[in-house]
Parts: sequence; C-alpha cells; structure tokens
Amino acid sequence: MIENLSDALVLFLNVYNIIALAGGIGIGVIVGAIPGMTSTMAVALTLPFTFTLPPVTGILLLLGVYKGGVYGGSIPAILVRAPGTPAASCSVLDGYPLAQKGQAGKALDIALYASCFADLVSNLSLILLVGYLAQLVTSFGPPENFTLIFFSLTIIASVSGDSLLRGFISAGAGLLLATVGLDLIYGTDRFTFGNSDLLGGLAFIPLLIGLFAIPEILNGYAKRGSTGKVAADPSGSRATFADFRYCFRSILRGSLIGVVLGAIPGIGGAPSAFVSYSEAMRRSPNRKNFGKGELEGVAAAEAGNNGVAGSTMIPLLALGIPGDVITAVILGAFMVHGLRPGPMLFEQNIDLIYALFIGISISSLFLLIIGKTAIHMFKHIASIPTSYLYPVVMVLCVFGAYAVNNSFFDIYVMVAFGILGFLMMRMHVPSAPFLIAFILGPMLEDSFRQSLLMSQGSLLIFARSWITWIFWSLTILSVVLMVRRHMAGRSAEKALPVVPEEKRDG
Amino acid sequence: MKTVHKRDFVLGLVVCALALLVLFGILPWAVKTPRVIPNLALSPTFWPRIILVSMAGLSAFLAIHTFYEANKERGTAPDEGDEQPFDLSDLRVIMAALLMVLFCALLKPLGVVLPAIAMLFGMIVMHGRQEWPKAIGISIATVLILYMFFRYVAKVPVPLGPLNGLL
Repeated sequence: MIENLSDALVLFLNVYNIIALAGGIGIGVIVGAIPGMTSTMAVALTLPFTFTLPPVTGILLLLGVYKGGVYGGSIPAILVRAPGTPAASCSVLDGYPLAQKGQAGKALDIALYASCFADLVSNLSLILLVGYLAQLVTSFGPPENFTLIFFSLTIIASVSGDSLLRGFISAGAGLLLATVGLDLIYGTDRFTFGNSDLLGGLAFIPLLIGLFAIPEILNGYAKRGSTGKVAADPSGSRATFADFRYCFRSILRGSLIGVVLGAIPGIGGAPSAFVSYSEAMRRSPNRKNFGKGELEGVAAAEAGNNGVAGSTMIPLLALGIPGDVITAVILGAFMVHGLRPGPMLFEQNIDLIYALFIGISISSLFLLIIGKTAIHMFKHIASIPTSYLYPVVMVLCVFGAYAVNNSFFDIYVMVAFGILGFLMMRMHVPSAPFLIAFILGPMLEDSFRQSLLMSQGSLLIFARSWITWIFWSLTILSVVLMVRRHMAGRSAEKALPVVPEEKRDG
Repeated sequence: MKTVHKRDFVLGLVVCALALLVLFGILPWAVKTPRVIPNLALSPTFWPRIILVSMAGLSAFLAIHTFYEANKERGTAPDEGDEQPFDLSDLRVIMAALLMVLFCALLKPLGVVLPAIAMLFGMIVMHGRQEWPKAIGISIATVLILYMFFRYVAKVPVPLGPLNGLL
C-alpha cells in the first residue's frame, strides 16, 4: 500500500499533471459558462490533445474539463438565466432572482463554495468506495459481464430526452454501427464493403466529435449571431462565512445526495440537483423564499449537481461502465491509452489509480481558485461572437479527428456523423444513447457470444450465479423506475426552467 | 397533424424502411458467414439481425403510435409555436454542410492546412461577418497555430499538400 502510494506520488508529482488539471478545470469552466457549448463537447474536443500525453496527465486533463464544466454551467444560469449545462438548470430557480436583486456576486460565491465542498465529498467517496467494488468484480466471468453491461445500457433511458422510443432507436443505430469491422470470433468482415479503413471498426473519437460538436456548429447557422448577454454584474455583494454556515446543512445534504445518485449509472447531475433542492426546501424554515431568490436554494442545487462529479467515476473505475455521457468519453480516453477500467486496472495499474486519486483530491482546491477568477471573466467570455467561435471550433475538430490515426478517413467519418448528428438533433432524436450504445455494444456482444461458447449455446448460463440474478433484477427495477420517472417527468416538465435543446444531450 | 406527429411518423417510417433494407438487402452480402456454425447465436450475423429486427419493430411502433395519437387529436388546431424541423434558415446550414463536404474532397490533393484556412474563412463569412481582412487573419492564424501545435508538440504529421517544405 505504502509502496503503491509512493509510486503514485512519483507518477503524479510533475508540473505537467498540475498544469493539465488546472488547465482542464479552466477550459471546463469557460466552456460550461458559454451557453450553447456543452461540457460533452469540451471533453470530446480535449480528448485528441491527450493522445501524446502520459495516461495520468491526459486523464487528469479530461477530469478537470469535466469538473470545471459542471461548475461553469451555473455562472450563466445565475447571471443570464441560461443554464450552461442541464445540471445547472436548478440553479436558475433562486440564482437568477438573486442576481436581479443585485446579489449576483453572493449567489455565484455560494454556488462556488457549495460546488467545491460537494466535489470534495464526492472525491473522498470515490477514493474510499471504488476499491471495494473493484475487488467484488474480480469474480466476474462473461455471463456476469453481459448482465452488468446490459444493466448499464439502461442509462439510455435517462439520456433519451422526452421520448424513450426515439432514444431506443438512436441506441439501436449505435449498436448496429458498433458491429462494423472484423468479427472477433470468426474473423469475417462485417459491413466493411471492402474498405480497409473499416476493418478495425469506426473510430470512436471522430464519431464522438462529429456527433456532439458539429451539430452545434451547423445549428449555429440557423440562429446566427446569438451570444450570451450578461444581465447582472457579478461584482458587488459577496458571500460571507456566515452565509456559508447558514447554507451548510443543505450543502452537506446535497453533497451526500449527489454522491449516492452519482454512483448509480444513468442518474446524472440534473436529477440530483433537483432532489437536493426539493429536500432543502422541504426542511428549510425559509421555504417560502425558495424560487424567489433564496441563497440556500442555490447552495442546495449546486451541491447536488457537483456531488455527482466524483462518484460518477465509481462505476467507471470499478466496473468499467460509464455512468453518463461524459464518463463514456473518459472511458474512451482510458482505451486510447491502452487501459481498460475495471478490476484488472486495480491489479495491474494501481499506481496510476492512486495518482489519479491524488489529482482528483486537489481538483476541488483548483476549482475554488479558478472558479473565483472565472466569475469575473465571464462577461468577456460570453461576448465572443459565435460567428468566430463555431468556425474555429470546426477547425479544431478537423485537427482532432485527424490526429487519432493520422487518416483522412477519420475526418470523413467526423463530417458524416456531424451531418447525421445535425439531422438527429432536428428530428429530436437524442445522440447520447447512440454514443453509449456504440461504446458498450462491442463489450455486450463479446460477453454474450463468449458466454454461449462456454455453455455450448445454452441461454441458462445467463442465470448461473447470484451476481447475474442481481443484475437482472437491477435492470428490471431500473427500467420500471425510469419509465415511471419519464412518465411523471413529462407532466412536470412544463414547470421546470427551459434548457436549450442542444444542451440536453450534454 | 401537428409537426411533432409528422416528425415522429416520418422518422418511424424512414428508420423502419432502412432497418428492413439493411436486414434483407445489405446484411446477406455485407456480412460473410462461415459455412458451419455450431450455434445460431455465434453467427456473425446474429447480433446485427437482433438489432435490426428490434429497430424495425420499435420504429414501426413509433410510426403507428404517432399515427394513432394524431388521429385522436384530429380537429384540434396545430400549435402556433410548433417548431418546423426544417425551414428556409436551413439554407445556410446546408451551405455550411456542403462546405464541409467540399473541404473533405480537397483534403487529398491539397492537404489539411490550405483547405482548413479556406473552410474557416468561408464559415466565418457565411455567418454574416463582413470584415474580410479580420476573417482572413483569424483563419490563417488559427489554422497555423493548430498546425504548429499538432505538428511540433503532439508530433502528428499533418499533410501540407502544396505547402510542403514551406512550413
């Protein structure tokens, strides 16, 4: 243990890791703060820059972007009533009324403190819990893996937006395209049409960039000239320690809610923020002020929202399954570096895991410092005209896609999936289920066919152990709960603040 | 029929037709199957078939369900705020998409840098920016900075085409 920790310290303690983490948080906060730019887009565009970096540096950069993006979304939510991310939509409820009362600075400060505290709690939970879960998973064989991945596919329901059917169709397309390439058991071609570029399957990163960044860029042409407009000046009133103490119970409760909900694949930051907010409202003596500019409301929403940032990594690191779209992208980053999250990673690369934990632990402090600076910078960032921003992002996409395999074919794939992604956006078909299915599809098929090879074709192998039964039960439970939540959400949707359509996947 | 119904109905029909086309038209020759397979589920076509059948079923259900819903609501006035999936403002979108396709076509003869500068400039101008010198400056500077980063920091051999030897 001590030896592993000292190895991890050696691995972590270099200036590039610190720069990557701080830079990642900075990029995340900036992108999260620009309405129209999603955190997923930021993580996807940062991914190609990590190829030549050592694994720890690259993954810390992406984690920084993720954490910064989660917080960054609250800045425009409070100042201009336009949540930068879906998870920040709850912060609008009290944040914007506070800004209108001239207390934007106070609202942003408390949002930052709540975010950093919740992030810290979430990181500690990740560090303490993930090892135990990974140990349990070492007894998994192909049937257990199949049921686990099948269960993790249920997160598709939670990223399907307002129509489960459209989400499932999108996931079906992702699963189908994941079959392109060589069949792993018989080595025969599938849908390659004689093109050698397709033998290894469609490259994940060009597809990801195409699906998430280019539709936003194309959509910018349909609504040109739109930029964020700062309604309130963030300078002025500031939050004091007394304000933090006043909100502390809600912050702590929200952090714990975030940790629990974040560890369950598919829940995500937005529901966690709303659960935390409603709990704070239910228990607060000032519940009448909620929705009219109550500081505790902002704190609860942001704590719930950021509480998921660390714990959503628990299923990724322990089980190798992504809890949401962004962790799916981070899973891709691990794969690019030849690493496969899951129990084997703990056995073979424990120093890397500890080095990541060290980085994650100090990320909350970086978030505090960078977030504080970003509050003042937001006015300038939001004024970048989209007429320059989007074309520049497009060129960045081109270089990023090319860098994957040094191949023009990947640029073609990116542009093709960009146009497909735009059509999907216009037809209100969510692209997140497509991506998740595309990533999990090959693992699902492999474990399915390996299981059948083991059992000589008997499907009973999928019920061979208590682990498979647990995952079947969880799958059924998850589907039932999500369908119920979906039905309830449709009627409650009108009451919630509007999140721009292009943000919903992110 | 409301826009949302039309959209879902068309989506259901198109996806169903595509899934059936791939299932019966493309799959048999695009996926090579070994002669002897011990178990049907181990066939390379088994998984794609399952997915395609599910997609055809789900999309057909979407189309039928939407048709039924639209019939139920027949007579009610369409929402004035109904968003059309495609309208005239999409001409700019189509032009931007065509610019991307043209960019792809120019990659092999001209490398990445020159087409990227042209595409960036074109996209800025298509956004309605009239300051041409500024747009040209931003286009050249952005592409060169990215080229330098990827070429010399990330060690990615970005093809230069006619600029080979100049940069």
